[in-house]
This record gives sequence, structure tokens and C-alpha cells, in this order.
Amino acid sequence: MPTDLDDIFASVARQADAIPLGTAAQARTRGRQRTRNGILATAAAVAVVLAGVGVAVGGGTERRADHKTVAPSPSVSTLVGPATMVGSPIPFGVKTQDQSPVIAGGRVFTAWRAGQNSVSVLAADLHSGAVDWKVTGLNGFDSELVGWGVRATEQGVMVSVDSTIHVMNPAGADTGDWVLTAGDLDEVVPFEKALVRRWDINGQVDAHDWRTGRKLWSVDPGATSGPDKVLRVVGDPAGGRVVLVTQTGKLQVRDAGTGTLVRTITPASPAQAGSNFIPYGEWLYEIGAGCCDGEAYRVVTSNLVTGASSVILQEGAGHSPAGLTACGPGRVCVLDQGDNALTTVTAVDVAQGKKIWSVPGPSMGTSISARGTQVLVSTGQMAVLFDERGEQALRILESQVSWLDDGRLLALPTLGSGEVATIAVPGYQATRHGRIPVDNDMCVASGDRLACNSPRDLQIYDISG
Amino acid sequence: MPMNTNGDFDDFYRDTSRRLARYAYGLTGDPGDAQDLVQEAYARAWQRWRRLADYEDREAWLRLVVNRLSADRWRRLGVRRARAAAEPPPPHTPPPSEDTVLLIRAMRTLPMAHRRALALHYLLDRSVAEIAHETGSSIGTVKSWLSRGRAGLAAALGSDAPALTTNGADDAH
Repeated sequence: MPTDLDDIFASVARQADAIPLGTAAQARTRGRQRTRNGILATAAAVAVVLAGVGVAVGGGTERRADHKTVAPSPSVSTLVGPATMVGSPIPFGVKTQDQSPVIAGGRVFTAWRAGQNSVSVLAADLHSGAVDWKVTGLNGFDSELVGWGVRATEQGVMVSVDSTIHVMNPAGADTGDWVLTAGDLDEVVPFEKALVRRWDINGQVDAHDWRTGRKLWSVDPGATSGPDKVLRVVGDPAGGRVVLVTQTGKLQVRDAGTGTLVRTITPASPAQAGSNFIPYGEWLYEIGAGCCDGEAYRVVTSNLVTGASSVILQEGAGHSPAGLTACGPGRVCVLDQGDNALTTVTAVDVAQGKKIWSVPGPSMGTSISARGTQVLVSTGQMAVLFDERGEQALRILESQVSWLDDGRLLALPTLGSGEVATIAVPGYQATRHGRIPVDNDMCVASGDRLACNSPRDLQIYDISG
Repeated sequence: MPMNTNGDFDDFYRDTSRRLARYAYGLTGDPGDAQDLVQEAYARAWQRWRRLADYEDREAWLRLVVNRLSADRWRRLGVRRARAAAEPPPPHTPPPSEDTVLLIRAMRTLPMAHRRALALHYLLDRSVAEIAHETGSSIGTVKSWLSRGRAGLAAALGSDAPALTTNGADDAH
């Protein structure tokens, strides 16, 4: 055994050099496919607030020679310097490995590593910027702290310390706070009526009371293991239904409060645990890999009330799915990536299974989202807003853009600190809120507030007006 | 976007990805995590490639991404579950040597700042001055991190561990 530290690290380096890596092309594809409801499925499922992480705005538009629509320039209503801070920065007390905060129920929550095996978490009022509560000394069961983080809903705050998840009352100190442990392959999915956890080892599903941790209902492995083991938990967090995706591709629709099996659906194409599922009202939309050679992907709709299911879109070789969103009642919009990073945005009528419109999207488009029939496609560096007819209504350059609410877009800088703006939809009136001095990736937004973690403190900004 | 953008990115990936994998492995001690962190960091780089092209040290930016992602427990939950559900298992990695197991285990007991400094210094051959520049810290602070990191390794490895000596490279830079 070598006795020199350099020799031991050289051994570690050799081990690292043997790790199989993907190719650059795979990284590029992943970059294009990286959507907020794709690879970060669990995080997106847990964070029910708008994931307004990202960047600042350069603001501006351009004409597109290959499209009839001329995108209007957002007009600037106000000009300001630094963004207006709400209250004062809330210090962590240490320089920490930063993660972005989360927002739920009018509060912002953030967690940080405060010691070798200790995590602290605080809640602050978004309106006033005042600290509501702070808890220190959260420890996991493991002696070595590797990972931590916080997610929140109006029902509970979930602070992860390695494999231990502390479930806390968002309102503050509560003797009913409880913990659960979850492995990396397990799922922990919040619903309004219960916190649902799936054990990967056997497919067991447990639903816990938010406040006490008491088990409300359970689907035990005896009923679900074997050929029809539960592989995935999906559903609308705010809705009353939990949908379990089974190994045979069926959908079990259960009442979130009682666990009662309401219906078992056999989709028109078997559901796949690795797919992207979008709940919308009584519908569940799924976009995932195709059934066989020559079918790159397909979009399946299932009605959770009637059990009706159909395949409404199939694409062949040369295509890949970049995103799916509900874009109005009875309508879904799909972002398709072809070869050479070219994208297409397609709106499909769910009832008829027919394309309503299909138009070119921005090159390297990576995410799609909608409010009503207004569809936003973003590349991470710019974004295009399509109206209900598929015509470009707006292009925003040098910005990472997301929906702030039903009537506003939030534009943040694409890299590093920079300027924040909101844009009214429709009307396309832009309001500049000033510059934020912190890295945009550490920010979340909700309503009239933008909350950002710097390495040393939490900062809340006013983006009203 | 210029026609050679893909080529530029591919060249950058080819030239730097192995170093990033070393760094990610040093931080996490898990080959699967390191593999995914590398892909995710480059995926994010590709999304911002036009802006990153102007950066003086794009590798440092990648390491910053790895720093953040490696600590996000909720992300790891999602990534591992998604990987298990959607993809075949990653290719087999040769089992680590006894030295590697001991050291990686010991590294995970250290504060992140110490772990990061050790990984930069011993796995990427970065000088104390370079680490100070990248972390925005003073040379004295970096020397302290390295010194305390080595002491931490020695303590964690315990009496069964090899005696830890260095070649004095810290002072040479």
C-alpha cells in the first residue's frame, strides 16, 4: 500500500479515469432535453411553485425572416437601478454551498450546510422579508453528510439531510414534526391530502399525514409486487387523485386521501415509468419512448374519470421529445427536436387526435410551458411565445424566461448576475426591476417576489409593478 | 449560431471531461454520481454555450456547477430514480482499489471546502495560487484548507491508514 498521499490520490485518479463517460453529442442532447419537468421530475413534482430559476434579462426582440409574424418589441415602462430588496439580506452565518430556495404559501424556505453533519433551515415571509422561523442542527442518520436540500408545499416543508427527510410545519415550531428515510430510488411526492412515498425495493406505496406522519393508507407489496409492481407515482399535487404507474403499463387511479382504488386504466399504449406525465384536470398526458423500432416517441392521453385512452401523436426516426404541456382545454402542445437541433411546436386536439397547428420552434429549444393557449418555448438563452394559432407573438433575447403567473413572464439573465424584468401577456409591456447581484440559478419567483440565495445570505426582491 | 459551434463544444468536452470526472469523483466518491454530474454539467454548458464562450475559465464554471449539483439531495433522488426507470444500468466500472476506498471514505468526512481544495490540488494538479483564484480565497486560506484536509484524512483513516506524507508541492507553487 502506498504511503504517500500523492500516490493514493493517483490511485483515486486512475479509478476516476475508468468511469465510463457519455459523449459530447449525448451531453448536447441532454442539454436540449433538459426541461424542468423532465430529468428533474421528482424535484418538479415536489416544488409546486413556479420554478422561476434562471437568469436576467437583456430584453429585446428580433424579426424572423422565415416567419410572417413580426414579434413586437416589449415596451419598457420603467427604468430602475438595482432591484428593490424587501427587508434586509438574511445571513446564513457561514459561507455555504448554495442551493436555490423554494417558495410555498407566501413563504420562502432555504436550507444550508451549517456544520460537518448539520443542516439549518429558515422560513421567511415573502411580503415583509422577515424571518418567520429557523431550525438548526438537523442531522441525518449517516455520519457523513453528502447531500441536503429543501422542498416545500403549503402542507409541509421537507428538509432532506442525506437519506433522512424532516417533514416540518410551514408555519413554524411544531411538536408533530417527523422524519422518514428514503433511498435514492424511492419517490417522495407531495399531494394536498397526503405525502406519498414509494419504496423502490418492492413497490410499496405509503401515504402519510402531513402533520403527524401517521400512515393514512398503504398499497402493500403483496398487492403490487411481482408482475404489476408500482414503478412510479404521478398525479396533480393539488388534485385529489394519485396515479400509480405499474410494471405492466397500467394506471391505478386512487383517492389521495383514502387510497381507495377508483379505477384501473389500461392505456392505449402501455404507460412507462420513465415517461413525462402531465396531469391536467381529469386528464393525464404522457410523452415517452415509442413502442418499437421506427417510433421515436408517442403521446398518450388517459381520462382518469372515464378510463378512455388514446395515442394522439406518434413521431418516427429523426425526432425526439423535448417537452409536453397542456395548452388549453382539450389541447396539448409538444416540443419536438429533430436533427441539427431544429425544433417544431405542435398543438394537438386531444379529443380528435389531430394536429391543430405545427410551426418551427427556436433552434435548441429545451422547454415548453403554457398559460391558457399561450405557449412559451425557451432555449435557456432566449424564448418565443406562440399564440393560440401558433403564430409568434413575442421573442425575448438574451434571457431565461418562464411564466411568473397567468399574465406575466419573468425574464432573468442567462448567466451570472444581471437584470430582472417582467413582461405582461398579452400587451407585451416590459417592466424592468433592476439588477440582482447574485447568481440567477439561485433564484425562485412567485407573484411579486423574487428570492435568491447568495453564498452568504437570502435576498428577497420586489418585482411588483 | 456559428456552424462550428458543435465542433467547438465537442473539442472542449474531449479536452476537459476527464478532468471534470476526476473532480466529481473526488467530491462524491460515487462513480455513478460522478458520471451523471459530468453529463449534467456539460448539458448545462451546452445550453449556455454562446455565453460561456466568452468566459475566461469555462472549466471553473463546470466545477461550480458540479459543486452545487453534488450537494443537492433532492436532485440526486430524482436523477437516480429517473435513471433507474428510463435507462439501462451504466457500463460496469472496475472495482476501486483498497486505497481508493479508504481515501474516498475519508474524503466524505471532510468539510466541502477542504474536499474541494484537496480534489483540485491532488486530482487536477492545481497550484495553491490557482485554487485561491478559483475559490476567491487567499493563498493562506487555501493552504489552511489543504493542511486541515490532510489532517482530517489522517484522522478519518485512523491507525490502519498509511502514513500521510506529501511531496511538499504545496509550498512549491
